[in-house]
Parts: sequence; C-alpha cells; structure tokens
Amino acid sequence: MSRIFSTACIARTISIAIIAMLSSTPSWADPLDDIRTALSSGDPATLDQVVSAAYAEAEGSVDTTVFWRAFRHAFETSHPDRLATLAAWRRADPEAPLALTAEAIARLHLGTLALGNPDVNIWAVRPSIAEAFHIHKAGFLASQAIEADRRMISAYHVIFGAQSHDAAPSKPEPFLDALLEIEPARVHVRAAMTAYNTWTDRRIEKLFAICETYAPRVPTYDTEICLTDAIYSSDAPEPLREAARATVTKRADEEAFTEWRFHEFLQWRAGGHSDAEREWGANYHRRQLDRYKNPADWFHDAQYIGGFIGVEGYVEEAHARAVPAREEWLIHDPYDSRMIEQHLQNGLFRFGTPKTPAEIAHLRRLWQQAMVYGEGSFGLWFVGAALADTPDELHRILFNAVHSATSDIYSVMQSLALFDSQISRAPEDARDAMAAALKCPMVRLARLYDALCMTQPNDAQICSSKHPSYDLRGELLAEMEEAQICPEVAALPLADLVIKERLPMPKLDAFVAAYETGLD
Amino acid sequence: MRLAVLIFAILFGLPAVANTYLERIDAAIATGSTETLEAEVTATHATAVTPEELEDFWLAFDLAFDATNPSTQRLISEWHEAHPDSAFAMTAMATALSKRAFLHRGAGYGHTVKGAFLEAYLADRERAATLALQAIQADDRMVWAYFTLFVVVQTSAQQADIDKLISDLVRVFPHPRAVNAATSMFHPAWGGSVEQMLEVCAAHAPSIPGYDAEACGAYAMIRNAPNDRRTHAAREALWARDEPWLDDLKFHDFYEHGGLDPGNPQTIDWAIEYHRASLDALTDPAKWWHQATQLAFRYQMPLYDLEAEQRVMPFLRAMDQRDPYDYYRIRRQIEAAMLSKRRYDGVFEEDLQAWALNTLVYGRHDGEIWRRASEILPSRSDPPFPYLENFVYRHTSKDYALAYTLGRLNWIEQTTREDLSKVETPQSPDAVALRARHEQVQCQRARTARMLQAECGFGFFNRSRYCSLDNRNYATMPQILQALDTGEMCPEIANAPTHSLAFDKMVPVPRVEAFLATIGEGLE
Repeated sequence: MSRIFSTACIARTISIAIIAMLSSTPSWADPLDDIRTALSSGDPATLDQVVSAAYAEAEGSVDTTVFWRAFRHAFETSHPDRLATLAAWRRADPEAPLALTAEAIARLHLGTLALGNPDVNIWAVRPSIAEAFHIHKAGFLASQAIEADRRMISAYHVIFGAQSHDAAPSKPEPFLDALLEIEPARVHVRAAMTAYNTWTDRRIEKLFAICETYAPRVPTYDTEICLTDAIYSSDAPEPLREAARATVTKRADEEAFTEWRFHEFLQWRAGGHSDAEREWGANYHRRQLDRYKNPADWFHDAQYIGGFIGVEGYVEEAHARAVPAREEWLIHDPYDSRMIEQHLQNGLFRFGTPKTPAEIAHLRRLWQQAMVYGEGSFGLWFVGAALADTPDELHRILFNAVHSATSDIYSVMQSLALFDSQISRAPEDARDAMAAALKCPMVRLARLYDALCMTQPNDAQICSSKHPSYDLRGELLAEMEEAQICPEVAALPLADLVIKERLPMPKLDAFVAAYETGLD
Repeated sequence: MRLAVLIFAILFGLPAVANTYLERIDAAIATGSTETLEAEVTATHATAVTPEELEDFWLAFDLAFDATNPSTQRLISEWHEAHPDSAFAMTAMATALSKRAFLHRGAGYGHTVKGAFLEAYLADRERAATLALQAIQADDRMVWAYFTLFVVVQTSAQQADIDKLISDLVRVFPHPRAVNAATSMFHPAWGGSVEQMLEVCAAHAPSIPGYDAEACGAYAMIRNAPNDRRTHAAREALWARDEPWLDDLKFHDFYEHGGLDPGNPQTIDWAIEYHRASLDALTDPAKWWHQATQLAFRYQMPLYDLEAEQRVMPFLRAMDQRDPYDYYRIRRQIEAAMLSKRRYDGVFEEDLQAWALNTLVYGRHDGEIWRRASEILPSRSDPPFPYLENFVYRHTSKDYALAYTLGRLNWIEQTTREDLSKVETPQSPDAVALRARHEQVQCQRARTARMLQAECGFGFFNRSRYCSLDNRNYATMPQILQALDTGEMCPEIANAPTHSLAFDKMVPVPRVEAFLATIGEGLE
C-alpha cells in the first residue's frame, strides 16, 4: 500500500511540476518580440510599459539572463524610426535607468558599426570623430544608468565595450566587482575581459589577474576555465595556446569547454580532420543559428567547415539558411554594413543568379544603406561594382575601392581583375565601347600593380605568372608602351599612381548625406 | 692621369647630376698624389668667387673629405704630412676627424656612449678642433674649418675668440649658411640659449646681402629650439614670407615639425614636390632617402618611397665607394634590401655580407648593428650566438634584446631538433655533430632565458611588453626554466650564479676580427 501511495505520489509530483513548467514560464519567456513590436509602434509610452513589465517579471525570477539578452538585442539596432522611439522614451523620463541603458546600448552599437570591421586594413579610411562620439556617450549614459539603478546589468556590459574602444587604459574591475555581486556569472567575467582590447600592454597578464580574482566567485566556473577563456579570447602566443589546448582536451566533455573545442575544430591541423570530428563540428555549428546568433559570423564559420575542413555540401546548406536569417536581421538592423556585404557578396558573386530589375533595385538600396557606415570597407565597394550602371560608375566605384584600401596591392589586383570580368560580362554590343572607356583606368591600375610588386618579397605569388591577373597587368603595360595609349597615365611619376582621392558618387553621396540616426 | 680619372669615374659610377668642384677634387684624389691634391684644391677654390660658388665648393670639399674610405683617409694624412702648412690639408683632416668622431659615438643618448667609444669620440674631436683652429690661423678663408670648429668646439679644451671667428667667417663668406652655422653653436642642448642665438642673428645677419635677422631667427629657433615658447611666432613669420630661398627652411619645418598646418593636402603636395626636386650631387643621399621614406610613411604614399629609392640608388652606389663604413647609410641600404630583394636587382647575398661587415668597422658600439649582422653573416661554421651576445651587451634595452635572442635561439633549436629527427644512422658523424649542436643551443637558450627572467624581475618590476606572456619569445621562458629545474637541460647553466651568466662584455667574433684586421687605420 505504502508503495502504491508513494508511486502515485511521485507521479503526481512530477505531473504538477510539468504542468507548472508549461503554464507559468515568466522567467523563461523571451520578451524580444514584444520589445521590438513596441519599438516599431513609435509610441514611447507603449515601449516604457512593455519594457517595464518584462523587467519586473524578470526581476521576480531567479535568472535575468533571458530578459537582458532580449533587451540588449532589441536595442542593438540602426533602424532610424526605432531609434526615434527610443529617443522619445528618453525625453519623456531622462532619469529612467532602463531607457538610459537602452540608449547606451544603441549608441555603442552605432559606434561599433561606424568603427567597422576590425579586420580591415588599419590604414583604411577611418570613421569621423562624430561617430566615435557615440561610444563615449554610450559609456557616459551607461554609468548614469548604473548610478540610477545598480541592477542594470547590460549597462555594465556597455561600459566594458566602451572601454575597449577607449584610448585611455581600461579599468573594468570595479564594474565587474559590482556586477558579480548582483549576478555571479561567467558571461560577466568574459565581458569584462573584452574591455582590455588588443592594443593593451601585457594584456594576457591582466586577463589572468581577472581570472585569479573573480573566477572563484562564480559558481560552476573555475580559474582553469577562465584562463582558457582568456587565452582563446586574446591572441596569446603559442606556448600559452598549447597549454589551453591541453586543458580543452582534458576536459572536453564539460559543456564549459564546448565552445573552445569548436574553436579548435576550426583550426588547421596536420593530417586533416577525422570523419567523427567533422560530423561533430558540423552538427555543433548547425545548432548555433538562432535569432541571437549573428548570421554573418555564423556563415563565415560555415565557409571554413565546408571549405578547408571539407564537410561536403555544407556551404550550400548553410547558405540556404543564412539568406533568410540575414534578411530577418536586416529588418531590425538595416545599416549593418558587414551583414549587407556578405549578403551582396553571396547574392551577386558566389551564389549569384540573374536578377530582375526589382531585385537589382533592392540590392542597390541595401548597398547604399551599407555605405553609411561601410565607406571604409574595400569589400563593400568591391561588391558595389556589380551594381554599377555605367562604365563611369564602375570606374568610380573600383577606384574608390582601391582608395579605401589605401592602394594595397591586393585591392589593386582584385579591382583590375574585376574591371576585366565586368567587361567580359557586358552584352556583346556594348563590350567594345566599355573596354575603350575603361582602358586608361585599367592601365593606371596595371602600372600601380606593377610598381607595388617591387615592394613585395621575391617569391610573392601575386607578382608572378602563377597569378592570373599578373599577366593581365603585363598585357596592359605592353599595350601602353607599344601603342602609346593613355599618355597621361604613362607619364605619372610612381608616387602619383596611388589613388589619393575618393571620387564623388552623386546618388550614393546624397543618400548617405540624408541619413540620420534617429537619436537626439 | 686621364686614365686614373676614367677608372675613378667608373669605380664611383658618378650619378647623372654632377658638380664641377666635386669632379675636380675627386679627380685630384684619384691621382693619389699629395702635390696634385694641394695644387688642384687650391686652384679649384680660386675659381669660386661669389658666396653661392663658395657654398658649392665647400659642400663638395666636405663630401670629398668627410669620408671613411681608408685610401682617401690615408691620402689626407699624407697630404697633411707633406704640406704641414697647407690650410686645405688641415681643414680636410679636421673634417674627416669630426666625421669619424661622430661614427665612434653614434646617435644614441649621451649616457649610452661609454668606454673606449667615448674616448675615441672625444680624442677625434679634440684633434679636429686643434686642426680647424690652425687652419683658420693659416688662412682665414677656410670656411669649412669654421664650420667644423663650430661643431666640435663644445667638447674641446681649445680657447677661441668665438665672436671674432663668427665675424671673420661672415666677412669671408657672406652667406646665410655662415650665420646659421654660428647659431647652432648656441644650441640649448649644448648649454647655449635662444637669446644667444638671436644675438648672433641680430649682429651678423643684416650684413649678409639678402638675409635678415628675422629669417635667421626662424632658422635658429626651428632647427635648434623647436619647443621654445617663442618658436611658434618665428614659424608664423617664416610661413608669412614667400621668398623662394626660404623654401628649404619651410621644408625643414614641415618635415620635422609639421609646419603650421600639418594635415593640409596642398602643403603636403608642395613638400613632396620640393623634396623631389632637391636631390643633386651635393645632397646627402642617405638623408634624402630617409626623408622620402618618412614622408611616404607619414602621408601614406608607399610609392614615393619606391620612386625615391630608384632615383637615389646610383648616388648610394657612389657613396659605397666614397664612404664605405658610414653605417648610418649602410644600415638603411641593408634594411631596404632585406625588406625586398626584388627591388635590388644588383644586390646579391655577397653585397649584403659586405655591407654587414662594413657596418661593424665603426658601429660595434651599437646593438642594432650587431643584430642585423647576426641575421646576415652567420653560417654553419660561424654560429650566430657570439653576434647575439654582442647585440645584447651593446643594446640599451636589455629586455627587448634578450627576448629577441631567445626567439632566435628557439628557432635554431627547433630546426636542429627537426634535422635530428630525420637522421637515419644515429652514430654517423653528422648525427653526432647535430646532437652536439643541439646541446649547445639548449645551453644558450637556458642562459638567455635565465637572464631574461632576471632582467624582467619575474614581471614584477619590469612591466615592459618584452616581459609579458603576450610576447611569444618571453612566453617560452617558463618551459625552459622548468626544464632547468628538473635537470633535463644543461645543468651547468641551471646551477650557475646569475651574475656569471650576464652578457657583460664584447665577445670576439672570428670572422669580424679577421675582416677588421684587413682594414687598417686610415687617418693617422
């Protein structure tokens, strides 16, 4: 009897628990859609109400992670109308900590967009002071938010982000200290580490010090995991990476290390990857794409997996999922230039199919949006060349591409090759006229290419016939000398071959000039 | 004699832009006869009448005798011996000594010049000062003797009436260069002052046709006191004027201090054009090239560097003969050649080797020169470690030098280990030699790692980036020290007291010693 009772009792307890999980899920509910809808409504009062309600609900629960993740993601937007709603919300109550945090997030995001992809040539055209201003303002608003209410978790993260862009030495420790008192979590320790940017002196020592001091304060975290986080998230030298790799191998089964296991999976290794590893890696990657995952980053990894790791068909599979994910992303963040660059790169080149005029118009509009923050990106100018209407526009775009990369030899080579391929792609009746119109710009790039080769090492492939464009350079130069075409270009001294000035692009320039963030 | 001139011209590969005075003096040097030299220099000087002609003559004189070529130097000594009363011979001797003094010293900060190098520097300067004064006493038209004296007088024990010297110089050479050289004697870093420089300008500039105290003051302040509170006003006055002869000073102001409006594209274009046009036979080609590199770097014009390099190459080739041991020039040639051998069609491994040896004639006090030599000279029979020991010993940043050396040794260890792993018969002489080499390198690594640790103070008191785990060379140190602790590696280093491991003296390098023995002394 007692046995039956106890079994029934357990069954009942379980079913109550299940019902409870299904019916009341306040702490797990993701408010992202609600906040986004309120932001789009244009009504600051609705926004205030929705955000406050979601926050109150999260505060009542054990874990606020879901709320803050949605909150941050919703305000990481470059949508002018949404940012105008946010600005109105801030005006209505200038002291409100949630609104302060929201604007801090938005400004850090805009500043990051303006600073561009950190991988681009450091000599490339840099953003203006006005854009860097967003980041300073973000740090300022975030500290105001924390002063008003010390539980504004995302504000701390904004401070770490702002410090990472600051020329002054970063000091994330006091903020991390306060943050861990509110919520001891690994994610906060890792966010604090990002404050020490790549140009910090003795960076790894500083990250290790954070680990020694703060990792023990976080349950389910320990110094060893933290040191691994530190090494992988900085460009630590090989002996340290070796140590980290050993830790990852030793503790491969622990979830805390899965991310780094995947990171190692993406690295080159002698002898290639085993089938089991490939399967594991591809599966792990497949699961990563959700609405919070940046599809540009995600697809970037997919290219590695399908490319040199050699999981067959994976790039195509990932592309099919990445296209709608990027489109969805761009609804919320329409000026994300890196996202658009990848979208255009795939849509026009790698997976390009013939486009209708309407599709072309749509892509052109996207390209213009991307240019608001992406002027300094060679890749973005480069993809824009496929959208050029006239030979003159193609000339301007590609010269500006070379200019944006400060006439780096790869940019010159690629632009020269693209001139050539765009001519061969033109309708047959227009081809000769186009080739004639573009001859002198091409000769100039050929001379530039030739000169830049003298700055390269002897065995540089780009300056040998192994490289297809190298011979195109030779043909153009021979033509210049033999047929004496383009005498102005032929007469230029070496230093004057460099593309020194950005050429005006009337339509694009008008579009960019009309852009406003929506914030005050 | 004609044949000699011809051979000389071929040897020196004279650049397209020539200078008559220089050609005549060079031809006289090429005869090797002190009689001809005395007669020809005197005759050439007599043809220079106007201040501008005199300027060209003396610049040519300087280029010809301010040289490290041992045969030229020997000839100068013989000339001075054969014609002890010749003012030209004394001036030539003073010029060459002043140059050699500076090579002994190097461009490092004062406190880094030590020991024998400092003594050699001071001794050469003292002799230069004595000779320059004697030359002026013998013939007060020896313009370059005044110039040399103005440079060396600060360290000299010679008593001289400076005011009279300046007046005399301005009288025999009424050219802006004369007052300008005089102001540099009152450089604040040498104990002078802005007031003294301005006094010289006020007293002497107005007596020079076409010159004035304002332009002279601008020269003095911009060249010698760029951070004085009055310099900005002087600079504004300079840029407000538009006489073409002020362009040189404007260019200097732009190049050194950015001018009044550093980012202005028109000024940048102007400066490039000015610099482009300023290369001629009397230009210091190494300096001109350095300026081109700097302009190209600062204003992001990589190809201006290349353009300048192509133009300057024949001038540099000529200098290789004229002035073979001026390491300031040669190290730039080495660096450019190492950066891209593609650019140096005529440069082969032997040229690099010859250059590297040449830098060591006067540059042994400089750690960086040893570092470059360690990259170029070593071979299987001439291991790099002694070069690196001298590099560390002579370098003023020990942390950097030790971390770099550890990196080099790590690489040698790795390649030796890989070679060893490919050995098929472990008892073969090759294998035995490889093992011995590996052991030796391990001990060199151990010594360097221990010194790096000592230099960095365990990262507690030296917080430089070379003492950080971010540094890939420093990051290998903990493993090496661990291997030392466990006795796996080089026990004699593990157990040695730290001071006995220090890189604290110059180590003889057989190949370098052998080369230096062939040079001999030029100047007596």
